[in-house]
Amino acid sequence: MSEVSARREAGTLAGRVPWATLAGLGLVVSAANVLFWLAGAAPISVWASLASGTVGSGYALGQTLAKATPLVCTGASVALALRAGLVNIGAEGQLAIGVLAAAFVGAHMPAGPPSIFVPVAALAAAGAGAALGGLAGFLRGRFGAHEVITTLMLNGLVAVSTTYLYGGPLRVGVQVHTAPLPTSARVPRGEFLLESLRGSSVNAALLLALVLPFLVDRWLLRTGAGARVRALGSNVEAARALGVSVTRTSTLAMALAGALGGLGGIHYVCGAKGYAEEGLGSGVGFAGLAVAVLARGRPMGLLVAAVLLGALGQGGLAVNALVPADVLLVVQAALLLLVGAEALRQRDANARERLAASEGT
Amino acid sequence: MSTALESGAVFLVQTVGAAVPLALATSGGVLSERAGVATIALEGYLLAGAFGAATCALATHSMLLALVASACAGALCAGLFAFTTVTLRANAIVAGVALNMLCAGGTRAALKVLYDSASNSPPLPVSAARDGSVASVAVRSLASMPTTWCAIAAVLFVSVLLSRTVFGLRATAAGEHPEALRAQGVSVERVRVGALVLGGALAGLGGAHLSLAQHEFVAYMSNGRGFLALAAVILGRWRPVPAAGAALFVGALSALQAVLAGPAGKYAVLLQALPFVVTLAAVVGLVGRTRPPAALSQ
Repeated sequence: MSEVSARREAGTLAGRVPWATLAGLGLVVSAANVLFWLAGAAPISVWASLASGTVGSGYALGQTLAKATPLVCTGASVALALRAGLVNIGAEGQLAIGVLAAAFVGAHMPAGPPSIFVPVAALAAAGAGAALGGLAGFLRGRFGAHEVITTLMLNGLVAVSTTYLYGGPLRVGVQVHTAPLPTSARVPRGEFLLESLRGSSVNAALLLALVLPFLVDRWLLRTGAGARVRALGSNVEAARALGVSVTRTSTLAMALAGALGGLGGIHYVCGAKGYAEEGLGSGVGFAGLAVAVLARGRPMGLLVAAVLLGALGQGGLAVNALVPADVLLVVQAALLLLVGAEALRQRDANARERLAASEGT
Repeated sequence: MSTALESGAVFLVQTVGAAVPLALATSGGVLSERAGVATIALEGYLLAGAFGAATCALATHSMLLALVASACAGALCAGLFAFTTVTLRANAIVAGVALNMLCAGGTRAALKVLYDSASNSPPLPVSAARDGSVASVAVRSLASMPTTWCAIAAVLFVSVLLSRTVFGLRATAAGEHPEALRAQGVSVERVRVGALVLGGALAGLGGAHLSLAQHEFVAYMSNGRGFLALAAVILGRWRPVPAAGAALFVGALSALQAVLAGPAGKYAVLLQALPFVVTLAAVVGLVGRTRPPAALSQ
């Protein structure tokens, strides 16, 4: 679809409804029903159980939001990288290293007001993630090493390192986790927002997650660095011709993306758990790819997609009596496959069209 | 046998044993990526193959049928992947991540539904050599696994396929100059689907080794081997035999970890990290030049 006709269609109401997305969603729901039936349960009872288990009570809602919080961070991370034309599969490792950094730094905080020390822990988490992401971005800009490969390898490196650290040098006593954080480095739990959320893992990190997508969007649209990142994403050659340093911009974009992913660690370390252990945030990095792709570049979309996928994650526990929890992981995969891959395909097609048009073919 | 010789033999056996699933997945990955489709779904293929082999072995008590089932499981997953990326033209990275999720969740859910366990299947009816020295048991166990021979055959098969058959040359062309292939009237899509499915079948066989060697299917048992196989593909410059060599190298590293268990155990993490570090160095160009198939960067 050419840009002109796309703009014309977008003006009408029918043009604004994302038909392809809705059709994809419909397919996913049908596929989910088949899966539920195959697993031996009546689909309607699974959906009912899913609804009550995710939003049916204060606790359920709290757990859903708790699952959504780190998803917003990893989703924003992947989304930012996508704006630069880079595919960040490293959110998994960036989140993990953020968790590690927050736990390590946080455990050594002195007593004092959280308003000083929580930002320090957050800075550590963001910094660690930024180092990881920035490395991948630099290798891409300077050496042309594809960020998919470098971030995947960095994921592996972080995974191996954290397994060793959590089981060995950083371990405290019998339980396999790091030293707990003092209260100066903790954020308040969900009940400070709404009493009904008491008992769930949701915490003040949610507030951070709520504003992050909009902050990033504003940065992208209003600052010079953000404009350079967007230029890199739309057409590398044009950006280079305009004087944008590809190396510096890809490093910056990936570093910021890594920082966003690392910030997700605050939810676990400063909020929910108070320490770090093996397996925290496992799968959240890859799910962040789903969040970013489903969100189609809109900050509100990131929040909606994160809550949706958080609900799927929390829902697994709720439906476990009827169907195995992992069926919802399959539903998530179907969602990513049918709705998400289509979204990125459209973006690729637009990019190819623009490239073809600019080459005068 | 002297104990030094015994330990050496055990080390070699463990190296090869660890390298078998990697080499199979790597060969599949080489074929798939050479055809021009970025394949990070190897992890999913391994899981699917492991599960397929386990369920078939439990149902039919036949090793041969278990192997066939694993290859079919891998091929089926690759077929889905091929359909989304080649026919529907979806982004291969996103589809790969989705497929890995699908296989991880799907195999574990099926494990629960079929065998009512969230972690492992019932033990598989695979006979195990028991008498004799540690070394001879190890050697005989490895040699009796058909997947070991499949791995060697797969490497040679992919090598010959890519360099000497019409299909293989077309697959290479699909990865390097798809337009030229299209100009000749050959369907690039069909070649790619064929390469992907064949690659998936090979990786599925690698998964069979995982469950058959351990005599059970454990949830998420591939444990990142798919990404190690991808690293081996890159280290081997997308060529079957060097990539298999890289797989062997990774296998040796994991066997070394077993040797280092104990007082020097804390250095095991360095060995585990090595494949990732070496691959990073390779793509940056520190270890020779790396040029992926041209169509992969799209």
